[in-house]
Amino acid sequence: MMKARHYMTFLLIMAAVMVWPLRAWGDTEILIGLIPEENIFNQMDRHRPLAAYLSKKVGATVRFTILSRYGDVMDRFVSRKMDGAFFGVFTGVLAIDRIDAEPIARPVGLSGSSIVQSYIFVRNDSGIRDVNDMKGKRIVFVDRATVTGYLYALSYLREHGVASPETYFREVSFAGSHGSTIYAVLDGRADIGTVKSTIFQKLVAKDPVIKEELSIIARSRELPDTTLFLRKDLPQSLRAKIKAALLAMDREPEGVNVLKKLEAQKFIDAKKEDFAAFYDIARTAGISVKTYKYR
Amino acid sequence: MRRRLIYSLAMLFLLFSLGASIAMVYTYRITHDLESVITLHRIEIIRQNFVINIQTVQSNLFATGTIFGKELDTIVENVSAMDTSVKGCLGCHHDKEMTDRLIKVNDMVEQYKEAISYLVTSTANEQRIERLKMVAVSIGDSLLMRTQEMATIADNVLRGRTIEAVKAINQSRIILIITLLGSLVLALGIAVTLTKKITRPVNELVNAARMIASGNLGYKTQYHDDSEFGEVADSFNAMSTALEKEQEKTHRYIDQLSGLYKVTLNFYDIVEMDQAFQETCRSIADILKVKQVILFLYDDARKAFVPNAMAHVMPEGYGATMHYSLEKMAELYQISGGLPGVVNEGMDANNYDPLVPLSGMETNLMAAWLLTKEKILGILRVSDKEGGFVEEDAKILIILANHMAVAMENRELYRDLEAKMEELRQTQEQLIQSAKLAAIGELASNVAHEINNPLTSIIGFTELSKEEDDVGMIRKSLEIIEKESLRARDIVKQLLGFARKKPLQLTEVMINDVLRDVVVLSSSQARMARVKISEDYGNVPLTTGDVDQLKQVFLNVITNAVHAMPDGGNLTIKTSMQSEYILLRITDTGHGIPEDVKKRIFEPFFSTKKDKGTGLGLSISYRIIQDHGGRIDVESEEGKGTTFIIRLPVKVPVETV
Amino acid sequence: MSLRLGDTVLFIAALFIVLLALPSFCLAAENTIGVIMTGDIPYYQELHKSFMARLGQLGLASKTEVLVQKPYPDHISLSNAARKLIAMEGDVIVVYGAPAAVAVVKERTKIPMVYAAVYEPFMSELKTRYSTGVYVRLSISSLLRYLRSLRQIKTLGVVYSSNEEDSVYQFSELAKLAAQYGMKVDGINLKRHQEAQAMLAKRRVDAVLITGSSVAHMAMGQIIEYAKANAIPYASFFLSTDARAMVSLAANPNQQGEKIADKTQKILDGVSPDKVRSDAATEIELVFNMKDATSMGMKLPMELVTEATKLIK
Repeated sequence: MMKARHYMTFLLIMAAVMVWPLRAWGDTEILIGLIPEENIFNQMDRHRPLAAYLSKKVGATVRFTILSRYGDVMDRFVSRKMDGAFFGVFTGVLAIDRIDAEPIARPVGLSGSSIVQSYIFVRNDSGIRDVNDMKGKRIVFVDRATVTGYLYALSYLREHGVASPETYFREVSFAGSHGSTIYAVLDGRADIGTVKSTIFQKLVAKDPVIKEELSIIARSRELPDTTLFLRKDLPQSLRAKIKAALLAMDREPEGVNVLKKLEAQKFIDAKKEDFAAFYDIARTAGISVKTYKYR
Repeated sequence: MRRRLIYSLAMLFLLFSLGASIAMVYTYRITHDLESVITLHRIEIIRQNFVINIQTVQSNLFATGTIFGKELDTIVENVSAMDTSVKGCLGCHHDKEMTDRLIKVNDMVEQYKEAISYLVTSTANEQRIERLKMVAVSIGDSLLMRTQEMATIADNVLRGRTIEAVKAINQSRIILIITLLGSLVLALGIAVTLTKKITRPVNELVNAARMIASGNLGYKTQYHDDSEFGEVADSFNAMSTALEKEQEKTHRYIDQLSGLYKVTLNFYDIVEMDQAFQETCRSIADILKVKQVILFLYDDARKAFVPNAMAHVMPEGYGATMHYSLEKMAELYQISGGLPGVVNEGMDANNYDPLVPLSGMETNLMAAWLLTKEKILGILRVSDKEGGFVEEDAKILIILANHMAVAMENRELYRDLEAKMEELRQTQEQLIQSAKLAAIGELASNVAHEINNPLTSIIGFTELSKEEDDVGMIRKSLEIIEKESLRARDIVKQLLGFARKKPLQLTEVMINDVLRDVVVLSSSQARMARVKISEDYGNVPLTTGDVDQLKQVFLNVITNAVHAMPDGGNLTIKTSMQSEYILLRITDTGHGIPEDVKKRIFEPFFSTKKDKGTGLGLSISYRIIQDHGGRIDVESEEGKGTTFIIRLPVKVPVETV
Repeated sequence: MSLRLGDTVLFIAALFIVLLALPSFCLAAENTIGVIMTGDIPYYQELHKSFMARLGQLGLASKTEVLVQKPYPDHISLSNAARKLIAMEGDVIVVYGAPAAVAVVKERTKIPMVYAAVYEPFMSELKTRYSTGVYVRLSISSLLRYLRSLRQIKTLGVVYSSNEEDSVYQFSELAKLAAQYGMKVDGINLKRHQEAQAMLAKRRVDAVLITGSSVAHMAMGQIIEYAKANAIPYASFFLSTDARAMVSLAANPNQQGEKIADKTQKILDGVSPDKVRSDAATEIELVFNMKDATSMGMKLPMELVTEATKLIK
C-alpha cells in the first residue's frame, strides 16, 4: 500500500516535471489569421493539423482564424487581437510597416515554389500585344489591396507611360478575386486582366483550353508567397520557438504529415528583405505603403 | 419402419424448421425495424444539430454588420460540423431514396461551402457580393427545407417502421403459435401412429417370447410385415424353431448322459465288476439304441480279445468263435489313432472290416478301444443301430470305453491295495506285540533292579548273622534286614499302587492349606539343601479332592525340585485362578530338564536320580491329577530351572469319583 | 429644329422625285432606312428597339422612314429582302446578324450598310467601302465551360443551321473544343424552326448549346421544352427576355442598337461608311437563369453565379 502510494507520488511528480515546460506558454493562446482564399473550409482544414502541431511544439495553444479582407485588414487584425497571420505580399508589407510584425517563415508549395508573380494577360484574339494596344480597352483588376492583382499592373502601366488608367482605358473594373479577372477576360467581358500567377496556373491546370485562349503579356518580379508574420510584441523566445518548429517540420515524420495536409513541402525562412521587390513596384506605381488607401 | 420413423421425424423437423425460420425472419425483421427506428431517432438528433448549425450560419450571414469578423470562424465551424454530420449519415445510409437525398444534401452542403467561400473571398463589386450572399443564404434555406423535408420523410418512415414492427411482432406471434400448435398436433399424430406401429409387433413378439419362456418352444408368431419388425418376427420364428430343435437335442443328451451316469455308476461297485460289465453292456445298448454290445477283453492265454460281457446272449456257439487277435488289433489301433472304428451300412470296405466277423448278420458296427497307459485292455463293440452310427455315438462310446477302462484299472488297483493293507495289518500286530514285550521287560528290569538292592542287603546281612554270635551284632543286622525288607515291601506296594488304581477319597479341600502343609514337611529338607522357599498364595476357592493323594503329588514335585537344586536355590510356589482352574506353579532354579528327558518324565519307572527314587513318583502324580480332572505340565530350560504347572478344576465332578 | 429655305426646296424636290418613283413611300420622310433582321427573333427586335430609340434621341425618328424586313433566315428569303431594300434605294441599309449582312454584301450595292450582331469571324466578308457596324466577339469556350460546370457532358447537342454561316462556324469551333474536352458532339442542323421538336426527339444529349442561329432562336421554346423534359442544361449565344436559355453569353443588343444608330446618323450626315469605325460590342452579358437551374435540381456553379452579369432568380 505504502509502495503504491510512493509510486503514485513519483509518477505525479514525473508528470508534473514533464508537463512543466509545456505549461510555460500553456495559458497563452496564439491567434493566427488566415487571409481567405478559394475555399475557406478547405483552407481551415488544411491548417488545423498545423495548429495542433505548433501547439504541441511550442507549448502554447495555437489557433487559426479567418481574417477576412473586408475593410482594413490591419484594423481588423489589431481589433481581433491577433498575434500573427499568413499574409500575402501586400498585406505582409502593411503588417511590417503599420503594425510592426515580423516575417517568420513561408511554406514551399508542392510544386516546389514559394514565390508568386503578377501576370498581365489578354485574350489571344484581342490583338493586344502591348500597352499601346490597350488604349480604349477594358481592363479588369482584382482588388486594390493586392500586388499581383493590381499594384504591379499599375506600376507596369506607369512604366509604360500610362499615368491615369481611368482615362486611358475605356473601362476599369475590379473583379474582387483573381479567378474572376481571368473569367472576365475569357468571357470577353474585359480585354485585359491582371492576376496572381499561382491562381492562373491552377486554373490552367484545371482547364488547359484556357492557356490557349489567353496570353500573358507581362510578368512581375518574383515576390514571396503567403508568409507567416508574428507581432513583434510577442515574446522573442516564443517567436523563435515557432520559427524553429516550422523550419524543422520537414525533418520530422509528424511534421511531414502535417505538411502533407497543408499541401506544402516545407517551411523556409522569411525575412523583411524578401519584400524588396514589392517596394520597387510600389515606388513605380507611385504609392506609399504608409498612406496608401486600399479601401 | 425406420424409413417411416425417419420420414416422420424429418417432417416434424421440417415443420419446426419452417416455423423457426419464419419466426426468425420475423424476428430479424422486427429487430431490423426496431434498429432502424432507433437509428432514425439517432438520425433525428443529428438532423436537428444540422438544422441548428445551418440556422446559426444563416443568422450569421444576415447579421454581419462589419462584414465577417469573428463570426466567420463560427460559420466555418458550423458548416464543417454540418458537413461532418452529413458525411456521417452518408456513411451509414441504406435505401436508395434516402441515400439520394443525402447525396443531394451533401452536394448542397458542398455548394454552401463554395458559396460562402466565394462570398468571403470576393472583395470587390458590392452587387456581386450581395448576390453571392443571397445565393449562399438561398442554398442555406434550401438546405433547411430539404432537411425539414427529410425530417417529415423520416417521421413517416419512423411511424411506418413502428407500425410495421408492431405488425411483424403480432404476425410472428401468430405464426409461432400456429407452428407450435401444428408441431404439437403433428408430433402427437406421429407419436400415436408410430406407437401403434411399434407396439403391435412388439406385443406379438412379447407374446411369442412368453410362449417360448413357458416352454412352448417352436411357437411361431403370425405377425408379418415389411418393416424391421417383420424381420424381427421372422428371425424370432427361426429362433423358435432352432430352440425347439436344440431342446430335442438337449433331451437326447440328457437321456444319454443319465444313461452314461447309470453305466458309470456300475463301475464303482468294484467287487461286482464282472456282473457290472454285463449290466453296463445292457445300459449301453439302451443309450446308443443298438441291438448288441460286446465287451472284449484280452485273454493272455489265447493272445486275443475275447468277449467278456454282452448285452444280449449271442446265438449258440457263436461267442466262442468270436475273437480278435492282438496283432491285428494293435495294427488297427495304430491306424485308428485311438478313435472308434465305424462300419456303417453301405460304406465301402475300410480298415475296420476285420471287426466284422459277422458280416451279413449285422447292419453296422462301431468299436472303441479300452485303454490304459497305451495298453489295450479290450474293445467295446456295439452293433446294429437303426440309421447307422453318427459322430455323437462315437463320442459317447469313447466316454463309455474310457470309463470302463478306468474302472477296470481301478479294480486292479483296489485289488493291489487290499493285499497291501493285509500285509500291513499283520506287520503292525507283530510290532505291537514286540513293543508290549519291551515295555514289560523294561518294567520288569526296573522292578527287579529296585527289589534287587534291598534283597542283596537282606541276603548279605542274613549271611553275616548266621556266622555272628554276638547278639548285638545280630540284632543290628536284623534291624537292617527289616529296614531293607520294608523298603522292598514299599517298592512292591508302590508298584501295586501304580498297577491298581486307588479310589479317590474326596473331601473339601483348600489347596493353599494343603500346599502349606507340604511346605512345612519339606522345609527341613530344603533348609539342608539351602533352598529358599517363597510362597505366594492367591485367592483360591474351596474345591473337592483327595487330600492325601494331592499331598503326595505336591510333595513329589517339591522334593524333585529340591533335588534339582543340589547347590541351593529358590523355590517359588504360587497359586492363582485361571478361568475355572486353580493354577499352581512350582518353580525351581535348578539345572533344568533336557528336552529328551522332558518327554518321558511322566513315564513310570523313568528316573534320572540314580539311587534316590523309584521312577514312579511323577508317573503316579500325573495319574492322580488326571483323576482329579486336572492336568500337570512342565516347562523347563536347561541351566535355569523348571516349573511344574498343575491345573485343578474348582469342583471335581462327581462322576469322576 | 430649323429648316433653311434651300433645304426645304431640296426636300420638296426630293419628295417630288420620290413620290414619282415610289408612290407607295411615305412622302414625309427625309431619310429612308431599310432594316433586315436575320429572322424575326426577340434579340433583333430588342436591338431594333434600341436602334429606333436612339434614332429618336438623335432627332432622326421623325424625318426618317424605317422599313423593316424580317425574312425567314434562309438564303433566298434573305436575298429577296436585300434586293427589295436595294431596289428601294434607301439611304442606309441596317442589317442584324451576319446572314443578312452577307446577303446584302452579295448584292454589291453601293447603298451604305450598317450591321449589328455580326459574329466577328465574318467581319472580313463585310469589309467593303460601304459598310460599317458593330461586331460581336464571343468566347465559345466560355459558354461551353459554363455549360460544363452545370453538368458533366459526354455528348453535347449543338443546334445550328446550315443556312446561317456564323452558326455553322460556331458549330465547327465547338466541335474542335469538344474534342479537346473529350466530348462527343451531336450537331442538330435546324433549317426550319418547326422541325425542332421532331429533330430533338430522338437525341440523347447531356446538354444543348444553341449557336447564334436565328432559326434555332425561333425554336427556343421547343428546345427549352426538350431540355427541361430531359433535365439537361442549355446555353445560348442569344439573349432573350421570354424564352431564356439557362446560360446565355451574348452582346447586349441595346448597346449595339445605340451604337449602330450613332453610326447611321454619321452616314446620314454624309460621312462615308469607311470613315465610320466599326467596333466590337463591349457589353458582353453572361446571364444565368438560376431559377430554371434550381428548379431543374441543378447544382449551382459558383463561378457562374459569381461571374454572371445578370442572374435570373
